Amino acid sequence: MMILELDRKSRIPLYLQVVTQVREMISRGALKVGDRLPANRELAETLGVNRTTVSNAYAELEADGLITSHVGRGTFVSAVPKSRAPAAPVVASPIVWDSLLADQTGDIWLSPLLHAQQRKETISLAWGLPQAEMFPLDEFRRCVDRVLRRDGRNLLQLGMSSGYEPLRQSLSSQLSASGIDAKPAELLITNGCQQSLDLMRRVFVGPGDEVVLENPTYPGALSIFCGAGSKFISVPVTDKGMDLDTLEDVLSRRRPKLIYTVPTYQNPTGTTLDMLARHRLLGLAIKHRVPIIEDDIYSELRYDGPTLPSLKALDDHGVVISIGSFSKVGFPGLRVGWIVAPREVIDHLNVAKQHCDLHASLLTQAAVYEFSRHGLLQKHIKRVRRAYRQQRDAMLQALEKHFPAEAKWTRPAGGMAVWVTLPGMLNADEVLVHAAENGVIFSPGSHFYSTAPKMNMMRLCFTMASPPLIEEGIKRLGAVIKARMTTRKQPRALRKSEGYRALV
Amino acid sequence: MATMTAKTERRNFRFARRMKKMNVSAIREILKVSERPDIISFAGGMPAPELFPVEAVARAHAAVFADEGPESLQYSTTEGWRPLREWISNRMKQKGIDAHPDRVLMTSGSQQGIDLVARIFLEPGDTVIVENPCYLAALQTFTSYEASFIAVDSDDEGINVDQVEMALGNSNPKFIYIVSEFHNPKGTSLSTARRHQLIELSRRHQVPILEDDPYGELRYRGEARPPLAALDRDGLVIYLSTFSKTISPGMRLGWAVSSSELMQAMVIVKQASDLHTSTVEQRAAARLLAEFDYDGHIAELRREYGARCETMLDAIAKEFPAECRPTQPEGGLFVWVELPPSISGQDLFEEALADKVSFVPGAPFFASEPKENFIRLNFSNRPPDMIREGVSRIGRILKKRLI
Repeated sequence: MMILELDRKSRIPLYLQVVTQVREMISRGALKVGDRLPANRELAETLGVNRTTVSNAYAELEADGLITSHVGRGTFVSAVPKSRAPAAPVVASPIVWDSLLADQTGDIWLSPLLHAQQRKETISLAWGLPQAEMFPLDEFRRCVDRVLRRDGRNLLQLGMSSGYEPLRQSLSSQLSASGIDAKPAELLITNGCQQSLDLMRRVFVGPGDEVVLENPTYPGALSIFCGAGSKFISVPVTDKGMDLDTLEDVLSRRRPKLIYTVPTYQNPTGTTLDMLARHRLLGLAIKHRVPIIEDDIYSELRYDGPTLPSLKALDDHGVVISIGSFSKVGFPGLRVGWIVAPREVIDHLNVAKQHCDLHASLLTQAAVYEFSRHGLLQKHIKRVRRAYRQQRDAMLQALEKHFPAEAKWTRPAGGMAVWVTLPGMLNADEVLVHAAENGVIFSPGSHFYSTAPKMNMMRLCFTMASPPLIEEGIKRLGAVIKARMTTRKQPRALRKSEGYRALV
Repeated sequence: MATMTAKTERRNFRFARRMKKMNVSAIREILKVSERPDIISFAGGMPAPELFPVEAVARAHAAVFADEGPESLQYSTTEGWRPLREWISNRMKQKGIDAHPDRVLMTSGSQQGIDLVARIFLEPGDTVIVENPCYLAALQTFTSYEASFIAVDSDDEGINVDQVEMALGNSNPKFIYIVSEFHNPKGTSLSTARRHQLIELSRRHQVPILEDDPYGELRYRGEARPPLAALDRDGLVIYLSTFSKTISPGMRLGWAVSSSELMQAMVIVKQASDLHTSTVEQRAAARLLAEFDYDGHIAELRREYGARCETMLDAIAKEFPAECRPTQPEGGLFVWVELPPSISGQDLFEEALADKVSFVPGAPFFASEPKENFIRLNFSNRPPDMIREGVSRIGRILKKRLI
C-alpha cells in the first residue's frame, strides 16, 4: 500500500509532490526494487487527482530511471535513487524537510498556553504559573537598576558559562543552610530547569540509553527524555511518591543512565517521598550506580507537614544531581536556574552549556543575586507561601463542597496543584471541552504520562487564581462533572486549537 | 545497602559517548590567562566595554518595569516577544531579507541558533560543509551531535565555491555553515559573485545554508553585500544574527530567521532547550531599540572599531616581518595573520605571553588539516595605544625568530 499525502494548497505542482514522495519512499526502502506501483487510474482515483497528474509523475520517475513500465504488466520500481547525481542539471524539487530533520519530538505547548491564558473571562486552573500579581516588581526593578549602575560594563560583557560568580557563591551558602554541601565549583547556572534537564540529556543520554521517569511526570521532561533515539522506563507514582518496589525491580534487570524524580510535591500528583523512602531510593541508586536527577523546584512551596531534607542533602556518595530554579517562587520569565552536581559532572555540563548558548544572561543573574542578597527573596517566598496556602485550602474546601462523592483527590502539603481522580467512566479530555464552555480550564492528566495514560485524571493548579475565583471555578467544574456523570452523552472530540496540551 | 566511597562512585559516571569527542577547549585556558590585567589581550572576541550603552540599558529596564508590569517577569512564548520580533523583521527587510515576524525566533544568543539548527538536522554520522578555518564554537557544537565535517578551503573572497560544488556532488551533507560577513577567525567576507553561486548550488542540490551573521553591522569600509538570506528565493537559508556585538553579549539575545516549516521545528527544540529567552531582557531590548538611537550607536562603534582595525593593520605592516600576511578585513572583530611556515602560532603564543601579550593560535580553528602558522588577533577590546604596543611586542618576537 502506497500512502501519499498531497498538499493542494501548496504552490508545488501535484505531480512533483507525487514524484518527490515516491522517490523518498524508494530511498528509505518503503518501496523496494521490483515492487509494483498502483496502476495509473487506480492511483489517480485514490489521490483524487487527474490521471494526467499521475502520468506526468510516472514519466518523470521513469526518466530518472527509478521506475519502469511494462505494457500489460504494470509499473515497477527499478532502481534506488543515487545519493546525488554529480553536476547533472537538476530540476529543483521541493525540499522534503521531514527527511532532513533529526529531532522532531514533542509538541509546541508553551506558546498556545500563554495565548489561551490571555482570555480574561476564563478561570484558569490549568497551569503551574506563579501569580503575576505577586511578583516583587518594584524591589526587583531597583535591583536591576542598582547592579547596572554599579557594574554595568561587566554585566553587559560576555560572561563565563559556569555563571555569575557572586550568584554561585550565594547559592552555595544558601544550599548549605538546607544541608547541601556544594562548593561554587559544584554549581552551574542555567536558563531554568528545562535547560538543566536538557543539559543532563546531552551529557548522559546517548542513542539507545534508558532513563527512569516517574509516571506521570513533568511534560517538559517527557519532551526531553522520550525524544528520538532515547528510551525511557516508566515507574508508577503511588500516593507516597515513586513506587520504589517497581524501581528496585527495574534496576535489578536494566541498566538505566539516570533516574529522574521530583521527590517533593511531585508534578502533577503533589506527592512526597517520606524520609524512609528517601533513604531507600538513595540506597538503590548507590547500589546500582545510577545517578539520580532530583528536581527540587517546589520544595520552597511548603504549606504544612514536615520539612524533609532533599535527596542531595542526604547523599554522601555523590550520586545525586539536584536542580533548582527561581521560576516557581517568583521569577519564571527570568529563566535562571541551577544544577548542583559533583565537580566532574559540572565540568561536562559546562562544556555542554557553552555549546548551547555560552552562558545565562549576566544581568538577570546579577539582579537575582542582588535580590536574594538583601533578604528580599526569603521575604518574597514567605509571602508567596502564605498566599498559595490559602489558595490550596480554598481549593480543597471547594472540592469537598462541589465535587461528586465518587471523585478522589490528593491533599498536597506543598507545590502548585491538586491531582484529582474522576470516576472511571469519565474522560478528563472530554470534561475539559465542557468545562471550557463554562469558563474554567484545567490540565487533563493524560498528558503527564509517558505511557499508559489514565484518562480520568485531572490536575488542578491553585496558583493562578484568588480564593473566590478558585471556589467559583471548582463550582463550575463540579457541575460539569456531575452533569457528565448523569447524562453520559456521546463522547466529543477535544478541540485542538486552544492549546490545551499546555502544561508547566 | 552498599558502602562505597564518594570517589569510586564518581569514577562511575557513565557519560554519553558524544562527550568523549569534546575536549575541553585549549582556547578556554588561553582566554583565562588573557583576563589577567597586566596582559594586552587580542585573544577574545569581545566588544569594548567602555562603548556599552549602559545608561540606555538601565533606562530601558526601568521603563519595562514601570509600564509593562508583572508580565515582564512571567513566562512568555517560545517564539519571543512580538514587538522585538517585529523590530527585527523590519531591520531584516532593510537588508533585503524577507523575514515576516512569524518567522523570527528569538534565541539565547546566536550560539543557541547554531545549536537549535544542529539539533533539528544532525544525527550521528551526518556531515556538514564548513569553511576551513571556521568559527570554533560552531565546530564544537556540530561535533557534540557526532557530525563530521567536509572542510572546504577559503581565500580572501570567502569559501571556495568549486570545492563546495564538488562536495555536494560526492556526498550528502545536511547543510552548509557559512559566516558570510567578517568571518571568524579570518575577518574576510564572501564576495557577491560567490554568494550568488552558493545560493544556486544550494538550490540545485536542495541543501540548506546556515548563514551566521553576528558581525554584519560592524562594517568600517567598503560596500555592504546582500546577505545570502536576501538572495534566497526557496526558503533554503537559515539566517542567524544577534545583539551581542551591537548592544551587549552578556544579555544573550539573538535571533533566527527561517522558512515557516523550519520555524516550527526550531520552536519545538527551543522549547525543549530552555522554554524561552528571558522575558525581561527581550522586553528591555525592544524598549531600548524603540527609544534609543541604535543606528547612531552603531555608527559610533564603527568609527571606534574601524580606527582600532586600521591601527592594528598599520602596526602589523610596520612591526611584523614582511613575510607575514594579514587579511584586510572591512569590518568585524578579527585580523587573521599567516606567519612564515617555520613559525608555529602556538610557540609564538607562549613567547608572547611571557612578554604579556596574548592572542589565539590559529590551529584549533581548522576543521581538518590544521595549519600551525596562523594567529587570530582581536582589535575591538583594546584601545589603539595598547594595540600598537601589543603588536610591536609580537613583531619583535617574530623578527628575532626569523634571524
